[in-house]
Amino acid sequence: MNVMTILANATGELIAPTTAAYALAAIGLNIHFGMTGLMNMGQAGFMLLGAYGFAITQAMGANLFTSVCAALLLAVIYALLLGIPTLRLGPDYLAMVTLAAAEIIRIIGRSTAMTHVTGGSGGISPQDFTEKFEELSPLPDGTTTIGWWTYSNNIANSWWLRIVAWALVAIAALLCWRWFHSPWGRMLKGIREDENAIRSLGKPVTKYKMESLILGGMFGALAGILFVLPRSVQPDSLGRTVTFYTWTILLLGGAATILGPILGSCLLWVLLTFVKEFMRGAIPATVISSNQIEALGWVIVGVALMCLVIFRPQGLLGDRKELAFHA
Amino acid sequence: MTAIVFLQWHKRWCIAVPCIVFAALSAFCAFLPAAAPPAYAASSTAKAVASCNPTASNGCVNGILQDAGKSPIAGATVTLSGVASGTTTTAADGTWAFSVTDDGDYTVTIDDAVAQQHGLASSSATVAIKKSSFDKQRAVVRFDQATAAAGSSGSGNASGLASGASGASGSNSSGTTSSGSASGSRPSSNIGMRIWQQLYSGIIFGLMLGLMSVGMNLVYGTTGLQSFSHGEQVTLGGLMAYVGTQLLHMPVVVSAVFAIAIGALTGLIQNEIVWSPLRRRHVGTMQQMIVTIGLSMALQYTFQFFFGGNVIGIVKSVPASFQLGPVTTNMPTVVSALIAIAVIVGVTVFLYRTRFGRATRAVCDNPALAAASGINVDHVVRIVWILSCAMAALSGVLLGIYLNGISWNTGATLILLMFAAVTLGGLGTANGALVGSLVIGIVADMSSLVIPNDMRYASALAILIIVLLVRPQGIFGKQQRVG
Repeated sequence: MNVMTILANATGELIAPTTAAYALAAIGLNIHFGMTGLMNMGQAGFMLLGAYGFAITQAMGANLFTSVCAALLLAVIYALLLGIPTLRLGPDYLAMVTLAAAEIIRIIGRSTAMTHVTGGSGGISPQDFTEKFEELSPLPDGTTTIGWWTYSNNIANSWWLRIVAWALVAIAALLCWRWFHSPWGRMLKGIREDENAIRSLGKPVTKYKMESLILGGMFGALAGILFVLPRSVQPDSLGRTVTFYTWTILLLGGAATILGPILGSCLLWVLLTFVKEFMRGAIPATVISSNQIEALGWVIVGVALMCLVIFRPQGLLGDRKELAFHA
Repeated sequence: MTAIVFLQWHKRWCIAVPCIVFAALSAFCAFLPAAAPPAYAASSTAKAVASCNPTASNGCVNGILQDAGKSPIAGATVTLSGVASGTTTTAADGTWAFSVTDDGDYTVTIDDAVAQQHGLASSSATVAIKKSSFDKQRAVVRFDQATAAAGSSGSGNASGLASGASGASGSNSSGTTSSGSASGSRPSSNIGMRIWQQLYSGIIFGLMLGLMSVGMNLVYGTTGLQSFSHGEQVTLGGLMAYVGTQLLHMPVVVSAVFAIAIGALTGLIQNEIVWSPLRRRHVGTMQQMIVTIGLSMALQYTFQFFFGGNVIGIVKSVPASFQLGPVTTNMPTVVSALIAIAVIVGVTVFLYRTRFGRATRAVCDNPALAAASGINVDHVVRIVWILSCAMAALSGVLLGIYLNGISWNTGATLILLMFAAVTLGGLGTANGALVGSLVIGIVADMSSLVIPNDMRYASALAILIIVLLVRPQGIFGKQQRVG
C-alpha cells in the first residue's frame, strides 16, 4: 500500500473533468431544486440527451458550435415536453415523470433498434466525437506534470478538457450568482417558498417554473457533454444512479447556495476515491474483491445521502432557515 | 360515501382503459407487416477459422469452451447449424470460431457427453448474426449459462430478466439471443399464438407487479411516502428465498415463508428505526423520499456485495412446460399466479371487510381525522409497513421462480414500473394499484410484439406520462388531490 499513490489518485479527482461535470449537473439541479423547489429526479436524462446531441452531430461531421447548440436545443425541447404537463401538478408528479422520462431516453438509446444512431448499449466510441474538441486546443502536444498530476495535454482525459470543464463550471457559478440575486431569482425563491402567494400577486408561476426547468436542463446537457468527453457515450453510465449522485452532491454542498454544488462534487469524489483506494490497499483482495469494494463505495454514498437528509438537510454551506424541502 | 360514488363513476374507466390499450395493440399487430423468414441464399457458407474478425461481408460466431472451473477444454468438436453449417475442434486454449457469410440464426452444439462431463449447463445455444449491426456481427457463444437454453425455449421468461437485469448494470452477457429478434423471424402464422402468449405472460407479470404495488400504494396512502426502496424489498425476498433453498437447503415453500418473514421483519425494523422517528419530527415527505433513495442505493449495493453481480437461481431445475389452451406455461408459473391472486384478494377482503382494514382506509383518507376519532395511526402505519414489505418479499420469491433467477438489481429495474402502476391506478388507492399493474404488465409484454423487446419497459413508462397528461389522479384517484 502506497500512501502517496492513494493521495495522488484521490486529489486527482479534485480537478477531474468528471468532477466538473457532476458539479455542473448539480448547479443545474440547484436551479431546479434549490432556487425553484422543483423535484427533478431525471437530471441524468438531460445529461444523456446532451451527450447524445453532441456526439451524434459530431459523428455526422458538424462543427463544435453546432453540436453544443444541438445538445442545448435537445435539452430545451425535453424540458418543454416534461414541463408542460407536470409543472401544474404537485411536486411528486414532476419527480416521477422526470425519473420515468430519463429512463425512457436511456432504454431507447440502448435499444438494439437504435444501433445505427446511438450505437445501442455499446454506445458511441470517443474517436467519433472528441476529435474536433481536441483539435481546438491551443496547448502543444505531449504531457504536462503539475505537482503530482500528470495528464496528456490534449488527448482524452486531458489538461485541455480540465481547463474547459472548470471554466464552464466557473461561468455557470457566476451566472447563478447573478441570477440568484436578480428580481427573477427572487421570484423563483418566492415560488419555492409559497407558490400560491406568488400566484395571488398575479405572477405567471408556471412560466417561471418552466424557465427554471429549461435553464437547469441546459446546464445538465453541458454537464453530459463534459461527462462523456473523457470516455465514451454509454447510455448505461448515465442512468438513474447519476441523478442520485447529483442529488447527493447538491445536498452535501448545500442546496440554494452558489458554491455548494462545486464543493459537494469535489468533496464527494475525493472522499469516495480515497476510501475506495484505501480499502483496496488495506484489505487483501482475497477477503474483499475489487468489485465488492466498488459496491461498498456505493453503500457509503447511499448511507451518506440518508444521513445528510435526516441530520443536516441544509448541507455544508446551506442556511437551515432557507431549507428548500416543501411538500 | 364518496368512494362508492367514485367507484361507479370510474367503472367505465377501469374497463375502458385496458380495452383501448388492447384494441390499439391488436390493431398494431394486424398492420404489422408479415414477418416472413428471410430467404437464405444458397451460397451461404460457414468456415471454421482459428480466429475471426467481423467485416462487411462476414460475421463471426465464436467462443472459448471452458469447463465450470473456467479452464479451457481442448479438442472438443463444435458443430454449427442453421443458416449454414460446419464443424470445428477447439484449440488448446479452448477457442473456436466460425466465419459466416449470411445473416440469420445459428445454432452451435457440442457433444452432450462433453457438456455433462465438464459441468456445463447446456450443450447447444442459438445466436443471431446481423452483419450490418455492430453488436450482432459477432456472437460469442457460452455454454456455461443455463439461461442460453431457457432463452431460446420461447417462453419469454428468461429474456425478461436478462434485458431487465442488464439495464442498470450495463454488463450484458453477449451470446444469448434477444428473444425479440429471434421471434421476429418466426413464421407469420404464429402471430395469433404469440399474442395469446404475450397476453398471458403480461397478466402473470402484472399480477406480480400488483403484489408489489398494492403494498407500496398502501404505504403511500397512509404516510404520503413514495418509497424508492420498495424495489429492494422485492429483491430481498428473492435473495432470501435463494438463501433458503440453496444455502440452507430448505424446501421451496419453507424458504418462501422464511423470505416473507424476513421481509416483514425488515418492514417493522425500518418503520421503527427510520420512518416513525422521521414522521414524529415532521420531516417532509419529499425529504423522506430522498432518504428512501439513499436507502435503496445502500441496500442494492449491499446485495451486490454479498451475492455478486450475477443472476442467481432460486430453484435449479427447469420445470417441464405444458400447453394450457393457446399458451405454453409451466406449473410453478401457474401456482405463482394463483398465490398472487389469492394474496391480493385476501388483502382486499382485509381492507374492506375487517375493522382494522376500515381503520387503514380511514388513515388513508385523513390521518388527522382518523387519529381524532380514536384510531391509533402509528399502529396502523406499522402494520401497513409490515404488510407491504411482506408482500414485496413474496412477490420477489414468485418473480425469482417465474424468471428463473433473481439478481441484486431486479427490484431496482421494476421500481419505475411500480410507480407507473400506482400512478395509473391512482395514488393511495389499494385496488387501483392492482388494475394499474395489470395494465402495465400487459402493455409491457404485449408491446414487444410491435416494438423491439428491449424497449418494452419504455412503453410502460410512456403510459405513466400519458396518464399524468390526461388524468393525473389515475383511474381510481380522487380529483381534489391534484394541485
